[in-house]
Amino acid sequence: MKSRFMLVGFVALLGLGITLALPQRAPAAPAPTGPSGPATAPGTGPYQLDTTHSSVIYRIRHNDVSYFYGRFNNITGAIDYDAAKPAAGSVQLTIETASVDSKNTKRDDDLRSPSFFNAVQFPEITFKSTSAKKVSADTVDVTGDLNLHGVTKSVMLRVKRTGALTSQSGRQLVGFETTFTIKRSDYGITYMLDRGLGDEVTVTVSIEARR
Amino acid sequence: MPIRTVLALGVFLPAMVAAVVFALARSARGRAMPGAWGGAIALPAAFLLGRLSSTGWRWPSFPPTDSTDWLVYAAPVAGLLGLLAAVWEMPRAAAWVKRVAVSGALVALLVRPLAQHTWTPGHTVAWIAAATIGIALLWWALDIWTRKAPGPATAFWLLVIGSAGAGVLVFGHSARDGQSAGALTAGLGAAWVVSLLFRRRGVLARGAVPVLALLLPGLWLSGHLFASVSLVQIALLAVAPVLAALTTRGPLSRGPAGRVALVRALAVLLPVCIAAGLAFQAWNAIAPGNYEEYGL
Repeated sequence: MKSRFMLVGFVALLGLGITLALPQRAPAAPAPTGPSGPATAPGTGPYQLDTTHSSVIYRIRHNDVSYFYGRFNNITGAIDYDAAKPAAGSVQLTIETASVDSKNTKRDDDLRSPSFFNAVQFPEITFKSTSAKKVSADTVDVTGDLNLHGVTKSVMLRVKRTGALTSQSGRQLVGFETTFTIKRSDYGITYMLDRGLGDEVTVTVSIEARR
Repeated sequence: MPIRTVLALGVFLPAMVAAVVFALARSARGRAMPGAWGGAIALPAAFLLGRLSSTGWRWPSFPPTDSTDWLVYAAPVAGLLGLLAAVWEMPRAAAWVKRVAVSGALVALLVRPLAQHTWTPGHTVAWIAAATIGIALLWWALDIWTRKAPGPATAFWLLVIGSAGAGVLVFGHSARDGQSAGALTAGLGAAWVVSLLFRRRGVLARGAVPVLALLLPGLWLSGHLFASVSLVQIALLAVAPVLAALTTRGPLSRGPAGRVALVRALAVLLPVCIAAGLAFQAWNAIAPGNYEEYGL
């Protein structure tokens, strides 16, 4: 009798331990969306950018031979996102100019100098949306003011929602990505123009925001 | 950018254009310094050729969004001041007022974004005042030096100062300003060659002085304010012409010509070599990441 009781207790403890060790799934959480997945509604309102999981990468033609990629490491911002009415949302991003990173310290110093970004004079690159237009379920054309090197120009970004979910702790996450091309000469960055460095710069911004 | 392209557009072309202007500069009757207007045209032309060729031949907007682009507009203004100086000997007091006013305007334009967003008013005033006095003194020194020692050697030593300044800017991670300084220096090289070939004296007197007095320190200041050039390096570069000017007066100017020349050479070489050495040392000390070709 006593041994049976101990055996049952042991099995119960074992079962409890196995249950606790299993990876947890978010209870009653909406499934992550993909391009063709079911729409979820993480809710409306402002999201703060998760700087650790957001990226800004640029690509520029080098010597007319290859493309060179670099990045900016510090990006902050906020998104006002309405899943039901994405065109009513807004976004404001700030990139720290001095956080440019081309994998080469000396080159990074050159990039921060007056030859290129002049990070001392223009410490931030900003984008502030002015309007948005829904293109499809997950895509919005966002128009806004891009301020780079002291010059502000209106640009249109095709922004794709890459995912959304509510975490186990109740935090809501949403992701967006956009790729666009600008001419650096339009923003007064003209050093080495047509002399080894292209004029067009393709920028990819991928952000994860949470609230 | 291939180095031959850099040299062709940044050195050879400005030097050739400057050489033609210096060679064409005719003596004006009754003037003590014949052809003094040559520098007022040759040096701004050399500077602009070097600057614009490195920036895709794009003229910066007016007013410039980047304050360092004010140097592009300062070049023709300095040239006009040089033409004025070539034909009109200003009274001493008026000359000092001109030096201080123009230097102060250039410094104020360069530091404007910092004054607006970063510096306190007191810091701004102190900085502008100090830089203005420094540039005005340099201007005065260049004036004295080129008048008192109008021979080819002065052009040569100015070429050395310009070269060292270009090197300091390049090592200070301001490649564009370094190239611009290099083009201006190429113009000085042309002045030296013309003065040797045509045995012409005073090639850089009067007309060239405002151009050198504004563009050289303007570039150095740009390198300090917005890149990695240190104040010590700028001070050393600026003190070289001042020391050279001092060797044209008083006891340092007397004695055997060889000794005077040696003292003047040391007055220039010591500070500029230290400045260039400091700049190279700072550049070399940066964490690994070498790239052979200067560019992205």
